Amino acid sequence: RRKSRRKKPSLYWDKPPPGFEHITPIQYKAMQAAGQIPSNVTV
Amino acid sequence: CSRIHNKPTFSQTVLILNLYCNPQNSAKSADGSHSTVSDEEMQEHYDNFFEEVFVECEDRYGEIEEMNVCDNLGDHLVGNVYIKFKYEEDAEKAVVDLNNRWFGGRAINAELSPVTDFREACCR
Repeated sequence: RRKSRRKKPSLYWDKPPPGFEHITPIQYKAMQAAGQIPSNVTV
Repeated sequence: CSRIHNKPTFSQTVLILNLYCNPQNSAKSADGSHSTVSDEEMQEHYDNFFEEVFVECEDRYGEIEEMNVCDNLGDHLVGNVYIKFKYEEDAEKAVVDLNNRWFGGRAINAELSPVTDFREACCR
């Protein structure tokens, strides 16, 4: 029963924040952790 | 969350932190007044979100048994998405890959979660 149900390009997946297209999400999170960019994620 | 949670080495369940942004919540926090997003719009937004996440994760990482989205206002839970895969290997693969992907202009934070039965799941 496995078939791809994707029918349109994603609104969310692989959309980087504006201005951060040149870095990877891992680098981005490292910068957040280092306080270089604001983090609005609460854990 | 300020409580101590044991993060398992192996689990079928993946926790993605703060993935879902409820448009009603954002509208409230933006101007401090009532929401301008109707319930219908919110439901549609949520349905689209759910479908996107579910389809993408199942296509890419493997069969999903259950998926839950937290929509309450608790800071540590809001927008959290729990995806229970059929196989532990798929969950592990998903965490590694998701942590290096963007989602809606944000970096994804994913980890394995000990929750396997969502009816029993609560912060103790």
